[in-house]
Amino acid sequence: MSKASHGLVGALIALIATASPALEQTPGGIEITIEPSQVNVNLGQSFEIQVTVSNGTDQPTVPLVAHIDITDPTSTSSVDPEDWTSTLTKDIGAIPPGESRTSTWPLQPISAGEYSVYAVALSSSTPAVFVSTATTVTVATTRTLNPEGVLPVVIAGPVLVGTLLALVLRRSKGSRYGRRSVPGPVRGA
Amino acid sequence: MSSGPAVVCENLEVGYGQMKAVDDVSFSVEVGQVFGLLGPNGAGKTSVVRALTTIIDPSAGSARISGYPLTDPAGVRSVIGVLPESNGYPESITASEYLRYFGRLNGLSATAAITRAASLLTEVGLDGVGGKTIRTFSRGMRQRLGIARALVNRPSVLFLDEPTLGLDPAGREDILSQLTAIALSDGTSVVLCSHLLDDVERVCDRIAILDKGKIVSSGSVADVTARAEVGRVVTITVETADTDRALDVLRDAPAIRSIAATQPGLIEVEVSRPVEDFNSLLDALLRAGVSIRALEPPKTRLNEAFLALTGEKERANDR
Amino acid sequence: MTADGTSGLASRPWAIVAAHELRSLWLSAKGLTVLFGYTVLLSAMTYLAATNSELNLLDARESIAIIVQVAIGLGTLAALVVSADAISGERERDSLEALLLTPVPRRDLVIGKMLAASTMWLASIIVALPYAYSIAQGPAVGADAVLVLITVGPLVGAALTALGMAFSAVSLSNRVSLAASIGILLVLAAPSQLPAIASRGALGSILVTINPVSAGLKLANTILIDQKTWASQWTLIVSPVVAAILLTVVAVLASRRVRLGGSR
Repeated sequence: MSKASHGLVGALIALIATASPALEQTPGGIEITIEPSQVNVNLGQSFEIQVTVSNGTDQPTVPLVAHIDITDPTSTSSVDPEDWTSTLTKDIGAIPPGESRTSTWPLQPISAGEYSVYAVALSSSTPAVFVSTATTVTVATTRTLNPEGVLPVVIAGPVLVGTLLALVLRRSKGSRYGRRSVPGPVRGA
Repeated sequence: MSSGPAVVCENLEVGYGQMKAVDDVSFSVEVGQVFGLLGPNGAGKTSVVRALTTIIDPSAGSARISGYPLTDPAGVRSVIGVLPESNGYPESITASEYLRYFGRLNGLSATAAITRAASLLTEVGLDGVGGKTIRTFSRGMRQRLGIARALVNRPSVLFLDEPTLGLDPAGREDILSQLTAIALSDGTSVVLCSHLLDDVERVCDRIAILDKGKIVSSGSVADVTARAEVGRVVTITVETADTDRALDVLRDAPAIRSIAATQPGLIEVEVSRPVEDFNSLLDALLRAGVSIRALEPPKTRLNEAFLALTGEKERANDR
Repeated sequence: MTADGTSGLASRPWAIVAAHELRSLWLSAKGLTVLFGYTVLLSAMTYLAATNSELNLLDARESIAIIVQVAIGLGTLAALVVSADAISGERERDSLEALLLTPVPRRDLVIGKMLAASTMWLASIIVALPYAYSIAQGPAVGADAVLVLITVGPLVGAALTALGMAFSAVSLSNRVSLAASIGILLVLAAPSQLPAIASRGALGSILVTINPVSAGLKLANTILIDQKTWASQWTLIVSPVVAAILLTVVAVLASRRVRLGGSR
């Protein structure tokens, strides 16, 4: 690609980014989508999101990376995306004209609530940033009284030892007597 | 076991760092004898007992307990019983269990230990409470349990350090009676450490008085008190009409420490030197024509002798 | 020879002392109270680990490694506290003199008390076995966990029980004995709490390996989490074995220093 072409693509990206940064698609431009649009999972359950970056121009893109972010839109909790997935940023590379690149992220939520997951595509060679819409992820708390089947053991342990303790305490109490009642002819006590 | 004295202590010294707690102490205790070791606090009584019972090593001197030298601690421990002054017990076990344990530690079989524990509890008057935890025991009961423990191995020599401390008069009486019975019936020699002089006077055949680590006097109670230069109290009963004349004579008499007419005709006189002053008093009264109805011979108490020998009176006055 | 014909010396006096101390420890509620507290803590940790494991927040092997390490750590601490009190506690309660006046050699006193104190970590390990197996989620992991418990637990437990006993024998104050024993345990356990990067260097690795507590805990990790073989981790078992033997010898030798105390 000639220098002139590079400059044209860069100018186009800059135009799109500055003109309408929130638009998910610009006719003939770079488009980034995220699937699915809605996820309902239980706490600890894994799911996947797919991010597709499409080049709608007639020129190849600059080398791009795709990056995902997770946030709580109500701002009531703070989310560290690295708690959900180990790799936030993936290399897309340069996309030829008319083609797309898709990357998949496995996510495992660590806290219950409602979250927004979105993706951005960006490059080190331009300041332009392409943003997807947000996927709404609803994480439900699962309540289990007997996780991994350990409940009988965690109850039985203290109960058994506590019972033994109670028996021993009772035995030692039974061998005491009140200080005021001294049995037998104890001389000079 | 040796046929000689039960305890032979020769030139015993015990030091704690620079301080000498026991300095050149020598005495002996015959078989079946009750020997009193007296002294004020800090005199070294407990240190003597601990050295003789192999708890601490003497820095000099030697001793033999029923023939076992102190260099044979296992041998010594096999023939002694000790009731230390600070006597703690495991609170959560019963008296029976406690005595059985010490019986086993002293070499008794499990069965023999059970029998011995039962008989000791009876001997010391705790037979009704052997199954109760020691936590519930009063001070007097704990002292008796301690004596029972000290007797578990039928010792030749029993060391008792302040056995009646903290007991009421009835409790003290009981303990002292038991000690006497033990010495008489079993032929066990008893070394009794105490600062309760009445107790010592009552039960001890011989005594030694310690002061600042040294023996200042030893012998029978009578000998020790006689040697001590202390005043003796003479009680004179005269005719009531002669009371004033008797008082005049006594006021002029030499070496009279004090005179007290407790009631008409009854005069208590403290003299400095027992025999000579007693005789000279009589002479003076008779020459003055005083009619003497009764005369109690000069008596002294161990208490006065003790105070004089140990300088406790001066130390108390200085304070 | 005493009047009843016995020699005055018990046969195997250490066994008599051990039997008595065992009864005192377990029939007086003292040992069971400690064990009850330990069991409650272990139950809480196990439930928490299982909850996280169920939520896939913790791998099953990580969960069981945590439980095994907690069991070894707490069980050792319990035994250490009992042994650190064994002689110095008797001294403070004024009951030592009566024991010293018996014909029982000091060495047998210490050995008997040490054996009794050891039942604290033994009981802790036995109690921990069903916990470890229940959270294991499979016989293979469960077997590994049980093996770690019954190998590392007794070695680390024996080493630190002996350490506590040695301090107890020579300390004139119970406070000093307990403080020194627990302090040493904390120092020995500290390397296992450092970030992994701290133990990666040559020096860090050596320090972890020669320290019986950190070596034992690391062994639990490598066997249970990293699924290494026992043969490949043999270096981590050396220091617990050496410590158990050496410190036991030290404790027995320290019995010669058992005495009533300073002047009164």
